[in-house]
Amino acid sequence: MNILNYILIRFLWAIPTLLGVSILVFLMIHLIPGDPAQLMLYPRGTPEQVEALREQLGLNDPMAVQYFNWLKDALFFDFGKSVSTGSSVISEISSRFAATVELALSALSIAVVVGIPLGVIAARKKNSLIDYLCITFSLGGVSIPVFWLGLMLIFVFAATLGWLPVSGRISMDSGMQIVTGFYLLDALLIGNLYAFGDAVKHLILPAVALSTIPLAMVVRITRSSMLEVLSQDYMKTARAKGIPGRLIIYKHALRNALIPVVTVLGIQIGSLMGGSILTETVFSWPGLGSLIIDSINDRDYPVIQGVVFLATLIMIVVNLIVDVLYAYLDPRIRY
Amino acid sequence: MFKCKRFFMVMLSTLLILSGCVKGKELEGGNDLTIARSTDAEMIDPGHAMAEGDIDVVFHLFDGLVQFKNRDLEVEPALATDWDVSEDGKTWTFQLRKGVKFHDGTDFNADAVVHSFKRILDKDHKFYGLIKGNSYLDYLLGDIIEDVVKMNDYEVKFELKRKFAPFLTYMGYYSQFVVSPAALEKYGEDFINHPVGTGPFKFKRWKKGEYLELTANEDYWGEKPKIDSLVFKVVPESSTRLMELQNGSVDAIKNIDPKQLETIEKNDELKALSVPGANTFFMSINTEKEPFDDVKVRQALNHAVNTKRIVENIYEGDGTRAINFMPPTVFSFDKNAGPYRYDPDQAKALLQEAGYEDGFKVKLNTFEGARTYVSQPVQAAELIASDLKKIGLDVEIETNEWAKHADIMDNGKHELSLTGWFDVPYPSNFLKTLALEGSRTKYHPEDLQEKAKKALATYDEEKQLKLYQELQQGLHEGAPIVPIAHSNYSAAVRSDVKGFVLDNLGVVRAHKASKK
Repeated sequence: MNILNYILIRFLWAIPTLLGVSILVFLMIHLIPGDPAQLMLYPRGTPEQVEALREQLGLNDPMAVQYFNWLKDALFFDFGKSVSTGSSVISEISSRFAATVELALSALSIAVVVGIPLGVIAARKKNSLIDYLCITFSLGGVSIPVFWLGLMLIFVFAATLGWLPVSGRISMDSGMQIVTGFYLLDALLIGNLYAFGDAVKHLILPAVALSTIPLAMVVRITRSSMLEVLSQDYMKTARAKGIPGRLIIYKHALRNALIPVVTVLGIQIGSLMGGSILTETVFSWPGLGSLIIDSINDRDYPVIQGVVFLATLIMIVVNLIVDVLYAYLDPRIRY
Repeated sequence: MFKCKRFFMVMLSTLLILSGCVKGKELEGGNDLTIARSTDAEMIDPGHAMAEGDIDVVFHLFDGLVQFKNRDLEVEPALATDWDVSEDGKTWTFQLRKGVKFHDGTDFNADAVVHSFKRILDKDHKFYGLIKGNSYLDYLLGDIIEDVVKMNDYEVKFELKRKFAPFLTYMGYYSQFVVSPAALEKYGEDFINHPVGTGPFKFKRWKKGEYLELTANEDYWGEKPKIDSLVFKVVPESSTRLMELQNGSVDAIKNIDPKQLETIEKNDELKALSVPGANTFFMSINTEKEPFDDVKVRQALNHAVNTKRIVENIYEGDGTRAINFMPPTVFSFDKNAGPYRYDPDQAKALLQEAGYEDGFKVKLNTFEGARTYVSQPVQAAELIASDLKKIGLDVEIETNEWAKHADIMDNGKHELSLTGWFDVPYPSNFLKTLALEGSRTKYHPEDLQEKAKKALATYDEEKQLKLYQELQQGLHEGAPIVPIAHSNYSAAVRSDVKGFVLDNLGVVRAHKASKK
């Protein structure tokens, strides 16, 4: 089977997955107690008013009807209107989504750019001081609460040293205009260098805070995977053939060691794309995490459904990309 | 491949260096006021706004026919210059201010008032249901207003179904503010993103989840704002908010953690504001369930809970002990209608009288997360449980997130439950709406309900006072709740900010604010 067919089939498989997830989410949020109409109207709402609001929100239809009504529109990315703000769910999500993606990709870039070399170094100098430092560093990264780290970063680099802004995504006076919602890209598109720099400055601290866990994982996985590859016979062969050490490590060993790293990164992308609540809260980053928390508290069904649907879609796409990358990294893998 | 990478890196660094050299458009004079809050607004249409985050904004964009002169809710003219009430108390006639314009340039007149009310209250009105969702106006006055009639361009008449004492007070409250009918016509359901009123500030832009910016209304009919623009910034985490303020990147912050007050007070550049809030945190008792249908048991619970300890430990000085349902700042508050003295022995004696000397099993419901009236409900529940154990009760605590917690209470599935209330500081809102109707206590004695109704139909202040005090006394004796505390509303500003007001609803009033 060639790779295009494989991709096509995987896409077709995404349909039942999405349907399944949407049914699950729909059932879950409708079965947990908490009636949005009652929540909104307490305590002045008379039973009649609650009933009228339920009718208005379409909550009185049988659940199956509600689900199909929702699904019909969701196919065209119309997730209805938010119960608490009255705006369309897709407009609520889209700006937040860009913020989350921008932050997640930045954090992952840090994880890759810093994590892979560190992992390689640790593997090469196994059981040396550098190795121990790398392990401690990565253990620390997994263990430090993001919330605390975020506040400390703000305290040191923003509040005390004043190098970077405390929180937010952009300064209001930056003259930023929204084109795609990705501020770095938008700033370049409108040619506003000041806004670009401003957006980068705002991005640094949250990206660093968010990168600690993926970074730590990348270091650990790269190290152990590299150790395994380095002990293989073909490494000895390569050395015996007189290939320079650097080339052996980065061209022959690393490529083979990357598969588990890619797997881990794939999972991390998937979870980061759903929005990272703690980091977003500390840095006032207007992403999906804060949106979903607010909407769960308000029982804002349309928003919850929209966000989860989108997050599932992204997870599916990311998994697909990861699988295709396997084939690229290891030509023996064929679909 | 490597060349490409290198090129990219060089480009990126160049961009960054260049961006460092380019200066932003510094705003002249920097005469803006930025307020950091924990949440964003959701809905800034006065007819549909519900949350604190909305009300902050609505008060700056829109005006009512009257406005509050002070925290005691005394009213003074705003969009109406004069008014009178008919002899039967059921017809209110307002003379409207002439020459006032909406932010979109259209005239404010009687038509605008009629449209603003009828779009919410009259099912046949062309704007009815244009914006979906519930309405505070409908709650407050939906059952009271019979009709709103334009007499001429600058005179409008409200016909009420019955006498209703809070009517004029309510007219100064945000949900009764007037919106531009031309804007409703023009934007339709998108009015929520283009709100147009007559207020001291105009809507400029709103980046949801980030900030909302208003600019001064140069043509305002009243005192013009001294600042050029007013920005509401969303900063969910309280420590981050404080650092923004210390840093000077914002001028004011709302929703302060009590633990931060000390830091703020020690800093000369900052000033803390704290006002007693019109809210009540209490434990509601489900009076329909045994053994809580016995008033002695309810009184025993009141004697058993050491509210002073809760106020000291949970509120840390940023709140006051509750005497009864009513916050002490509200008109007619009777300091003699409560509280029950903390006395475990008395509590035990009362339990014995009621026939429960061996105690009983009880479930105490509480919720996660802070609400206006309490910051740590779970810890509060633990303190209460330890008090109740002292009088021999076997307490189990159940914690849920708010929506589920509210659902349990609204369906009467609880026995004891922590909850609270904040509202317009008008007595009937606490004594009638909360205590006798919406309460999660199922407590509806007829004589008290009658009194509450009578008070609403009484325009004479002294008679009102007497009725409301009797109500408080009755509620105190019936003990359907254990009143615990009223939290303060707090904010902090940089010391160069003047005229920034936080009212006892916790709402920001920055109309007259200025920066030195």
